[in-house]
Amino acid sequence: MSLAILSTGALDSIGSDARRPVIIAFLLFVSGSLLWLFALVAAHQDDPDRFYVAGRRLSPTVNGFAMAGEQISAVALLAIPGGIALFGYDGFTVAVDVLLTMGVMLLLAQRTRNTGRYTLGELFALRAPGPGPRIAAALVTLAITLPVLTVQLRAAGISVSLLIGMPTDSAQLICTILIGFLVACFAAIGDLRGITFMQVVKVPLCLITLAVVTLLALRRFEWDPGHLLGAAVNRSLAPDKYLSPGLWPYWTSLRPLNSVGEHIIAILGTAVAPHLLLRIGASRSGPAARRSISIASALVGMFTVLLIATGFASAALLGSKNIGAADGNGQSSLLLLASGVLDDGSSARVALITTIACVTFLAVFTAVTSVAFAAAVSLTRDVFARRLRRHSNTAEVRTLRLAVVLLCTAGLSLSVATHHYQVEFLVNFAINVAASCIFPALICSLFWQKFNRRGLLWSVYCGLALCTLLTVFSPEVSGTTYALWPDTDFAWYPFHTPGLISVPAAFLLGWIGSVTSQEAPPSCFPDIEYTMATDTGERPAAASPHYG
Amino acid sequence: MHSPFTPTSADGPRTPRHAFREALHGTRRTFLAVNAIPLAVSVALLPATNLASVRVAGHLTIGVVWGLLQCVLFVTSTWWYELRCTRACDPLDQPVTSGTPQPGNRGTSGGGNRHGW
Repeated sequence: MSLAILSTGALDSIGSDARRPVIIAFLLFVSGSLLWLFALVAAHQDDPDRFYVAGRRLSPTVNGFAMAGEQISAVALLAIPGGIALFGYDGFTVAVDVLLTMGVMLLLAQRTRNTGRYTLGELFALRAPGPGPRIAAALVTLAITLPVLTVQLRAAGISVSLLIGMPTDSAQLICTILIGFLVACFAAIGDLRGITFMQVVKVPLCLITLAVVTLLALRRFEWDPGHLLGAAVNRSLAPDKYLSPGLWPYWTSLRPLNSVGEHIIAILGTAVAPHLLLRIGASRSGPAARRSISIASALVGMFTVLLIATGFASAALLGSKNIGAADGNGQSSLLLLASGVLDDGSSARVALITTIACVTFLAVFTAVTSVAFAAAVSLTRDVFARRLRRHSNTAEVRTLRLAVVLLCTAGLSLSVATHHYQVEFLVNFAINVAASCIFPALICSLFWQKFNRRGLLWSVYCGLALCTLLTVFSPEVSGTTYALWPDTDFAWYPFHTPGLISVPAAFLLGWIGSVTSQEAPPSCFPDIEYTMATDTGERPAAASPHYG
Repeated sequence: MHSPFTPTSADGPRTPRHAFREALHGTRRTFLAVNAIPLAVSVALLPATNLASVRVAGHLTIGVVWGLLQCVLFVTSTWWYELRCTRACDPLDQPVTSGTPQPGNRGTSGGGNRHGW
C-alpha cells in the first residue's frame, strides 16, 4: 500500500496535511517495535524468573513508571476525555476512579510482594495448596484476559484505522489483525523487561503531550480555566446538567445503586488485575513494591488531572455535539482537540497530531501486550510448571511463548468474529470477574487466619458463576439499545454491575466455606502474616511458592 | 477481618514485632479511612441527594470540587503513607529482618544491577 492510497481517508478529522506524517509515524512505530523485538530474541531463555519478572531487579522508580504506564491504557487515554466531553460530571467521576485504584494497590502491594508470588495460582495456593486452586486461578485468568484482549484488539484496530484515515470495515479488520500479530510477536519474544521499557517511555511522552494540548487549549481561553469551563458547559449537550450527575446514558434505572456498584467495582477490580500482580512481583522487595505504587500514584494523579482538563477543553473548544457526531462514544475527542488547538496547515499542528497518534499506538500496544504476557505467565507457571515437575527452564519459556501465541490467536479470533457486535460490556465483565474472584480471595488469603481451601474454592467459583450469570441477564446483553442483542430482551437483572451481588456473595461463600470445613486452619498463620508484612523470608514448607 | 498476629499482652514487653504491627496497621487504617470516606460520599451521598449539582463558584458544582479535592487528598495521603511507612514501619522491620533472604529472590536477583533495572 502506498502512502498516497493510505492518505485518501474518508473520515478526515485530523486533516489531509497531518495524514501522511501520522501514517509514517505508524509505520516507523511498527518497524521500531519489530527491531526492538529482534534485539530481545535471545535474551533470558534459560531463566524463567528473569523472563517473567525481570529477575525482580526493577528499581522502585522504573517499576513505578511502568506501573503508571499500566494505568495509561488506550481505553483510559481515549475514552475518559471523550466521556467527560460528552457526559460531563459522570465522565469526570470515572477519571477519579482511575486514580483511586492506586490506593487499593498501595494497601496490598507490600504484602503481595512479600509472599514471593506473582501469579494468581501461586497467590491462591498461599492458603490452599494443591491443583484445585491453581485450576481455579487459570480459569479466572482466562475469564479476565480473553474478554479484555477481544475488546482491546478491536479498539486498537478501529483507532489505528481512524488515524490512518481508513475507517471502513475491512480496513478496521486488517488493522485489528495487524495489531494482534504485532502484540503476539512482542509478547512472545519479549519479556517483562522489554514491556517495562515501553511503559517507561510511554508515561513521560503521554504526560508531556497531554500537558501541551491542555496549555494550548487554555491559551485559546486567555489562560482562564473558569472561562474554559464556562465554554464547556455552554457548548455541552445539556448545559444545565453538564456538571451534575445524570447524563450517563447507560443507567436507565436504579441510578444510585448502579453508580455505587460501578465505581466501587471498577476500583477494586482494576487494582487486582493479573498483569498488575505480576508487576508487583517484579519489585525488589515489599517496601520497594510499595514505593513503586507511591511513585505511580503521583504520575497517575498528573495523568488524571490532565485527562479531566483535556475532556473539558474538548467540550469547550469543539462542542459536545460535534464530538458526538464524529464518534458516538467520544473516543476521538483527544485527537479532535489536538487538531483544533493550532491553526490549520501549521507544522506545529502536524507534529502535535503525529505525537498524539504515536502515544495512542504506544498505549494500545503496551496495554494489550501486558495483559497477554501476564496471562501467559500465569497459565505457564500455574498449569504447565506444576504438571511437569521435571522440565527444563528453556522448555518452560518455550511454553510461555506458545501460550502467548494461543491467547493472542484466541483473542484475535474472537475480536474478528464479534467485529459487528457491541462487545464493550466484556471489559466490564472482566473487571467484575477480577473484583468478584480475585479481590475477596486475595483479601482473605492475606488477612484472615481461618481462610482455607474450601473457602477459597467456594469464593472463587461462586464469584465466577454469579458474574457470568448476572452479566448474561443484565441490560448489557439484551433489552437496551447498546446491548449485545438490542432487539431481544431477557434481562431480569436490573444492574449493569454483577459485582453488586457477586462480590458480597464471594466474601460470604468464602466465610461459610472456611468455617464449615473440617480442615484445620494453618497453625503457622501468624508466621505467614508476619512474613507478608515484613519481608523476612521465613516461609512454612506448606506454603512454598514453587510447590504449594 | 481480625488480623491475628502473635497476641500482645497489655502488661507484657513490647517486642519489635508488636511495635511494627501497630505502626503498620495504624498507618494503613488511617490511609484507608481518609480515602474511603470521601469516596463513599462521592459515589453514594452526592448522587442520591442532588448535592453534587449545587453551584459553589461560577459553573463549578460541589460534585466537581469534591472530585478534585479527592484527587488532591489521595495524592497527599499517599505521600504521607509512604513517608510514615519509610520512617516508622521500615526501620522497625530492620532489626528483625536484617540478614535474611528476600522472599522470591534467588541468588543475586534481589540486589539489582548497575543499570537500576
